Amino acid sequence: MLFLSLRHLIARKRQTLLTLLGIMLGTVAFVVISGMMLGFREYLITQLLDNDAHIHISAREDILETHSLDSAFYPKALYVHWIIPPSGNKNSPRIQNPTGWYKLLQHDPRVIAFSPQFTTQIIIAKGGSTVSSRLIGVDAISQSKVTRLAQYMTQGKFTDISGGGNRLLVGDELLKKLGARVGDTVMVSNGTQAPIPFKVSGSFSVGMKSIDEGSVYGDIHDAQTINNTPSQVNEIAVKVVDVYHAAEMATQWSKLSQELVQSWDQLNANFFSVFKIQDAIRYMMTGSILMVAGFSIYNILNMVISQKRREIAILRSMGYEQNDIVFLFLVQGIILGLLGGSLGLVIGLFACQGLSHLPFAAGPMGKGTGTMMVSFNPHIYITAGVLSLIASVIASWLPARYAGKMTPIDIIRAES
Amino acid sequence: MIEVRKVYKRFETTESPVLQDIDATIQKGEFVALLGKSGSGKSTLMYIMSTLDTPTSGQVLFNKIPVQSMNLPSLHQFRNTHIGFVFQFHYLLPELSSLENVLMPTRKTKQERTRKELAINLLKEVGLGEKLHRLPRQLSGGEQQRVAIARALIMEPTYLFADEPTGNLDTANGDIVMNLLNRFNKENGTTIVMVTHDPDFARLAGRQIYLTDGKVSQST
Repeated sequence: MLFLSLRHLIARKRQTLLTLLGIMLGTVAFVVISGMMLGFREYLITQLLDNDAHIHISAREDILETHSLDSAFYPKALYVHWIIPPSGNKNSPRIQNPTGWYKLLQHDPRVIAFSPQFTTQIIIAKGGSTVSSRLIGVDAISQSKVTRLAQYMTQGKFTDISGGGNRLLVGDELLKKLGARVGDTVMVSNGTQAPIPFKVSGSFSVGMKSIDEGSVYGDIHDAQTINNTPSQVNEIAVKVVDVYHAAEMATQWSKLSQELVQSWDQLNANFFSVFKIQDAIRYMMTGSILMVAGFSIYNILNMVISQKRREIAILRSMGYEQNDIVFLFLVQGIILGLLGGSLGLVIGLFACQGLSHLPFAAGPMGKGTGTMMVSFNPHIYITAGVLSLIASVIASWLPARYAGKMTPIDIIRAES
Repeated sequence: MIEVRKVYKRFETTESPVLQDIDATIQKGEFVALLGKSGSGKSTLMYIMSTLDTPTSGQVLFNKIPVQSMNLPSLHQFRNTHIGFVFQFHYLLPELSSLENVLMPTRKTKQERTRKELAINLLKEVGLGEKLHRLPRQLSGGEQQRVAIARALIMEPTYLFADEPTGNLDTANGDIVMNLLNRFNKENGTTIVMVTHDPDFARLAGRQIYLTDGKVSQST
């Protein structure tokens, strides 16, 4: 029957080519749209993973409530009425038992490295320019093991801040805002203490505006000094072996203490919601294209079957069974699906390669790579191939089943 | 041997039965013509005898085996190996050459290679030895019908059923087709049941069964 199916396809060249074109275009559309969307996504995830820790263990903010201090001041009173109720942070947020965390992380085989941090909000001033920023106090050696920030240094080395000495690494964008250059001295204050002079010993650019414009790195001891909270740690950055198990580990650890433990994907949940919407749009768009291609197979096969009723009758009278007739038409759809899908995959691959060399300007999320970010993930090609085949099989199965149900005598009677 | 026992056929759409209590026996190697006016039930009887249709009641037996007792795969195999069909319209597959059309029944049992020689010989016998690779559209109506006869004989069937095989042909081509059927019946011993409304062609058959209003009115 395969022999006859092929002859049918060859005999109606124009219809075969048009159907192939439909399936091919659907597959190309899926590959290209997915390549672009996933390319951007992979770039974004790489940025998130490279520039940030996989898991953050952060001190939980302890906010005073109206009756938080009742028992401390009036242990025996049944009810205390405050004219001005207590409010604000109890004290500077800090990790209660950092040593306990260090022990846990050192012995966990899923952990590659960790880095204690002290992060605080600061105001940086240079001449007349004042910019608020986030100072991340780190131990440069430990931090280098957790993130790839050292690779994104544009001037100086990441380890230049090692050992303290009031030195800072500032994001390129922030430097521009301040009007400062590497080697300049800037004044840093946490808002409550007198400004302290710091030297800009390096700059970095990770490609994400939020980091390049709003973050400053310094030694952990310097950060603690600015905040007047020596030896306090308010965050531990952790790098793990399997990034896709980070959320599971974070949830597990969060049960061990009162600290806030969040994985990279939990922290960026909003990005992942956008990804889900992107996926829905991607599947809907390509689904529509493949549906049109599928309808073309369905229509053509229906037309062919109505034209081939006599042939079906003679084949059945020769002893060919219902399944043989189903196979005769179904296999035509499968051949079209496989051929159209394969052509679509190859053309889609070339189109993606072409797109990946196109110059691409900075987007809202960052500076980009300079060219279009296109993914060549094999899953895209597998999904595209499978989708085109499924669309073809469904579209040809329905008319093929109808053809199989035709009995020779009904066809002969109808013909006569 | 084909035995038809008390065959009764009625369609849901018609009030009166098409066939009523038909009894007939066709011996091995016979050439029988079914005659009758339009609507007499001759074609319906032939299709019931040939297993393509089923009677409302009654039985058809091939060598004492009732058709109703065969399951679908056996029935398909029986049709493929023991029965050949020639219809009024040739029903050739337009994408295939004469030779490929003739070999089509052999593909069901993957005998296309072993029977290729026979197919060529059959086409030569029906006078189409020079047109083995012509497509149906490149052949005349008579030639197409001759290809259909060769196709019906390729599995060397015991029984050949022909439904007005000359109905769509001119007299000259009709004569050629009838002579071919007669020759295969005599030389190969193929049992032939042919529906026709042409008394001249019917006379070439060994026996004629006349049907009138769904009943056998005369058998000679």
